[in-house]
Amino acid sequence: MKSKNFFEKILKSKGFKSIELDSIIESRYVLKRSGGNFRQYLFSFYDQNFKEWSLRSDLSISSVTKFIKDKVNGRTKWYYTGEAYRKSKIRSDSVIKKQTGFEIYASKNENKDDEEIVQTSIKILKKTNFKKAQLNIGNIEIFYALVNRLDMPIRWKERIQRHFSREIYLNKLLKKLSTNSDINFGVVEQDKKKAEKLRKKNPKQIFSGRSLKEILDRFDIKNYSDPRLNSNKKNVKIIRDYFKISCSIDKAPKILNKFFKKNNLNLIIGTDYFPIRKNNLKNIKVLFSTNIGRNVPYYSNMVFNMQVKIKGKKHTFISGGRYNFLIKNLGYKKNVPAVGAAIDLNLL
Amino acid sequence: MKKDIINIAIVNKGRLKIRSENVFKKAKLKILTKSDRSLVASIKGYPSIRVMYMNATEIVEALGTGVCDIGISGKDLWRESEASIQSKIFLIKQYEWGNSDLVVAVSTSWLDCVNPTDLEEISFEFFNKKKRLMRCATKFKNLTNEWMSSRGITQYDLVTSLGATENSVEISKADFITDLSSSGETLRQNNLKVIDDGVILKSSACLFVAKNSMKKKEVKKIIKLFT
Repeated sequence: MKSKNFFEKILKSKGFKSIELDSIIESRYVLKRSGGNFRQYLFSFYDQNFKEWSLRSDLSISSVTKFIKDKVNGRTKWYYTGEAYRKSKIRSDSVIKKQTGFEIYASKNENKDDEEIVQTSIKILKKTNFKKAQLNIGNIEIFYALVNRLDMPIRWKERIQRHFSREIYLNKLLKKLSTNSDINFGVVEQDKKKAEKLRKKNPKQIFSGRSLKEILDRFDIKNYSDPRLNSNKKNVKIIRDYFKISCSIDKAPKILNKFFKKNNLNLIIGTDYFPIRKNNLKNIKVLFSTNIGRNVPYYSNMVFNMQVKIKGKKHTFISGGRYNFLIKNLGYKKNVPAVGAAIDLNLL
Repeated sequence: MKKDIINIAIVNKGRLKIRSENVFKKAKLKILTKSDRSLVASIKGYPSIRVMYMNATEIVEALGTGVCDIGISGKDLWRESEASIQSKIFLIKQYEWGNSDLVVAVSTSWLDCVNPTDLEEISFEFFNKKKRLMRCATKFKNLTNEWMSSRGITQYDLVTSLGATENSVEISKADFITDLSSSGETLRQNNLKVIDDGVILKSSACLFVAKNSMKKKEVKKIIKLFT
């Protein structure tokens, strides 16, 4: 096996600067991104001021907090190597994940930076002992555009988009949508009467952290403005069929546009959604897939992964994507577009 | 702990104590106690059996750590215990008494919240508009996390409650709760309603045995008497 640090040379030659990440991070940053549910996977503790800290569970989050803390300006390219610590419900899983990450912050030309991250990944892969690989590319933005074109209530569109990264739960949601099983019509009629009484009260009055106005606004949208449509079954079928699309990358725009036309969605996708347009790159097969990047909640646009075979089993060696909203979500004053990838060092 | 002594743990007070003692009566095992306040007892004719009166949560811990061999406690407490404890305990029998449901309850004024999908959407309302996580008061953190996760709810924070969880919403300690409910009356009295699909666990008293004790002949014999 070649030196494990060969990729550092590649990253340096591509202009990425080495940085050190903090080993511990304020838990609120992780919880802000992943929600309180994620707390069960954290190794966390309190300091003398009752501030909660945790061992870094995700290197990208640590990198973003460094970007915010250092008040970095302009386009920034950096890389880091380290360990992320996360509990797992699977006993055989290691709690330590060794990774090298490389990122470009504040992209001026997003397509160009996406391409650079993918091309750098390809270069790293070519220097390994893996003889063959499969590069899967997707784009979450296309999914968002598709959902926006569907004829369904806005809150359902938002819900479906929000849960792109939670595959099992999204399937449950789609089932609910197709069967209208989240509405209890008997209860709705009773609640409509109660709502009329509540309308006479002060709309600013707070009930369990929410104002009466917020409660009634949502109640009205849900029960008056968003009548269920018969087309929901059709919409669910369109979404499910979309997730089945997988093809060689050069055919992706044609196949997608055909799919959108067939379903009368008035949507056209150009080649600029894909950082690579060739099907084969010397032992690397390039595919477009609608069903990748579904395990990272902060990806927002282009996503990719590079799979290799070890003893006949497929493993993801490098994975990455664009996250244009993460930095603002973690407390920065404005949106900073960013794209990055991580190498799984455990496979080397 | 002597190896030849079989320790059976039962709840030390309330209705569960009486119902647990009835299990012994049905098995024709007479509990002998020195006084009403004594927390250790023996069984007439069975010198190798010791009955230990404990708090219901402690019984589960005691089974998991090998302090006792057999125990009667709540299913909710067993399911809530840490995986390292839970995996060391077998559920032998679920009784039809000590029933209660662990439920998700929200303010009755939240007219727009009738199911987990609504709760998930409201959690984002808190996150986006109020810039904070929606808070849930509970004594059952593990079971609550599991339920939330299975319903796609991620934007929440748990607030530990040690008792009187039902008033957490009223006193603004939390935005909603998960708690045990038998008849639902306490929830109603505190202006709370259980949401659809909001039963996290249907619980009742159960007979448990420590996995490591299953090999003991005496333990097998007692279990047979109890079942």
